[in-house]
Amino acid sequence: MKIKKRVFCSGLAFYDKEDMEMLHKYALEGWIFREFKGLSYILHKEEPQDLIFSYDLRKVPPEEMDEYLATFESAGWHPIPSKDPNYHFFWAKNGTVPLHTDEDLQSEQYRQAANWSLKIFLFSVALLILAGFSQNYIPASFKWGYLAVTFIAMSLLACSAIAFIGTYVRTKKKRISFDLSFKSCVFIFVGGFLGLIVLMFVVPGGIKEATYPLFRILYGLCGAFIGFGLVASIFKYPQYRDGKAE
Amino acid sequence: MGVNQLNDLIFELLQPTLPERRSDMSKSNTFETEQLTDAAYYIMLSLLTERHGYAIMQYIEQLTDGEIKIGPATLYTLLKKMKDAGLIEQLEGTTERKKDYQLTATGLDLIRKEVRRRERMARDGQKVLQAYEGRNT
Repeated sequence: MKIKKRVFCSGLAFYDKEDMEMLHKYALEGWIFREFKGLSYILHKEEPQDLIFSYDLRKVPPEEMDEYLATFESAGWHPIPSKDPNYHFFWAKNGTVPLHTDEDLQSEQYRQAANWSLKIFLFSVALLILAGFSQNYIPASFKWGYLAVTFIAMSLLACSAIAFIGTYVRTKKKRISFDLSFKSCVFIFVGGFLGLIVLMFVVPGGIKEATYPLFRILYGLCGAFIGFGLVASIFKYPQYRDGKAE
Repeated sequence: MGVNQLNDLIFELLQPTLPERRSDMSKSNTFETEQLTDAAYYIMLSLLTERHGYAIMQYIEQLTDGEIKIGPATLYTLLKKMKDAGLIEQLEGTTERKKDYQLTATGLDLIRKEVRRRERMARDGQKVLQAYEGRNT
């Protein structure tokens, strides 16, 4: 029998309350959130328990860590191991005084994450501009490496833009509750795939022959839909399988 | 121009796009406007005697008969802010896990003003309410 299971985090800036509620439901079924690793909650199979979960975003200097954890422990909130020193997850018995009793102060904690995602965004923009200018000087032997760097920069650009929007809005005490159901992720993937097939019939010869910019853009869009739909479906699947999401 | 300045500039430019809710004004500037949120008010009251984190939470719950509860994350944030604003100080010689805090002279001054302010607000409220009830009975 499986004793551990991985459920992906939906993105705290967008969907924190719902994620914490989901973890509570899992705990009632005996799947307890015990580690946070690689953007996902690792659940361990144990006795069903009525536990609640919460998180704190804060860079705690090592010399203050003891005091920090002691404050939370004494209030009934126990730390959950995580690799990242900026994220702290905690569990407590249901009925414990909430971790945050002031939502505005909690929102302020997103300032650091917003700052970081903006920096990554600016970095990827710079990288793409550099790639655009140098494309005619790349030796043929390095073509694939060049394409890979461009692809990574584009993905970074998209991810950091989404992360920045979400975290920035949180610092303004609002939240974009953005969450796609598993079914719509699959739908996006299939849609992109069908679009690609249609395009292949309309533009014979594939993307190499697509001289009109419009067709190139359409090809790019289909690629983005397929990529996004696939990744999002993989991320959402565990919640869907366990009946925790549509 | 460094990345940090560019970052700050973008935050600055975005500022008008999402106006903060009105009621947040007094909250985000808690210490500058010298008006305390309820949580900050009770934390400062409890630090008239030196106390560590857990003792503060316990004392407040006891003092208010459980009416006001403060979560550990909120407490931790407020303690840091008050320390930075010079309202409280950390006492030397306490153990790593349990650091004691106490009000500074500035903090004591602020809490005196704040108690008087809240007293007057409650009195004003009572006066108006009594007049209203007198008219309606």
